[in-house]
Amino acid sequence: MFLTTEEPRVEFDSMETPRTSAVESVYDPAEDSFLLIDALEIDLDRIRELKPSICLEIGCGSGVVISALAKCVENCTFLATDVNPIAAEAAKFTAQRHLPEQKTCVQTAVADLDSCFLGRLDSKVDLLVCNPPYVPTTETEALPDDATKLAWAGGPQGTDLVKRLLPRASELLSHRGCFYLLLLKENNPSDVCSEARRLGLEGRKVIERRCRNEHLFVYCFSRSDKTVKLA
Amino acid sequence: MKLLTHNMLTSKAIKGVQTGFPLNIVVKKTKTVETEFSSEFIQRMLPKLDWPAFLKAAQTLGVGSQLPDSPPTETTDETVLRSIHHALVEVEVIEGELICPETERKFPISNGIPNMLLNEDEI
Repeated sequence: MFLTTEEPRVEFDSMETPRTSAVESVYDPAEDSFLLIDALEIDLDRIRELKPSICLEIGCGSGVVISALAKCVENCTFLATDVNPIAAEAAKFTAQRHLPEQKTCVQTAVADLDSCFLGRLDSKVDLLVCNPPYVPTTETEALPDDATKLAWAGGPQGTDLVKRLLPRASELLSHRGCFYLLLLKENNPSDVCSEARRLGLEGRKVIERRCRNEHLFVYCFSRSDKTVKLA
Repeated sequence: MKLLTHNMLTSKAIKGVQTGFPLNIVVKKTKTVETEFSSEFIQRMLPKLDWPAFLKAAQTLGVGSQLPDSPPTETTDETVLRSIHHALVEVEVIEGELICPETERKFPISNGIPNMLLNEDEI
């Protein structure tokens, strides 16, 4: 649980923040990761009611988010991808440390977005989570010259990955599925919501927080055509 | 990589590949970890599984002998569910390879993690 002085501390059926080990070239969990965990914590009852079977995190980094989820959601498979092999390994390690061995069900793969599951998870993902590289960067900055940079450099508006992910999300989500996405104010969350709506996904703001120089949001997207598209 | 994960992995992202599923497994090292059995978990996973792919993968790993030929219905007894549980989540490929059924492209598995990254000229 990440504490700030801005908001009153609310006790939820709490999600414990997993410990991670600092590994060079893996994005260390920071305010953004913690805000995402807090958003999931706020929605935890809602998430449990979904009885999710498959949860997928895109760009899991150190694995702090998926491990926190895996600890408090039962009978679900947790899949995580990251383009950085070291991150995929760190995430597996974080999950192993955070969860008892006989319960560990976090599986990681090195892949771009959900490319390694193409055609197999359509309309099957009940819970999709992503803390994307959201920092607006110039084109030259955005050139991936090292693994850590891939974790934060988001292109001109900071939404390069988000733009690629939204159409995938609309394929992946089960009819009641939820997609939790972290956004920065400079990403223009309302633009992202419009784009999502075009793809049949309705966005809802779960939480926002100003952390140092960043104004961060977590949105939850779900199908607006729940009655039409049955998985 | 557990067989549950294997059942979801494809090489369809490769340019020209139709389904890329199921990926063939080359096993170099496996590990078995006793995992808490939950019949609800198995019941929830059954509809998501491609049964023939699971069966074939389990046979490759030598854990398929107890598995039924077709996916069990909800009424199936616990013995069958436990054998599914074992093959699905207790056995893990630690070192090995996944092979695209259409192009023979190999994906390494190391430390239990499949590396499915493709080069730009492959997509």
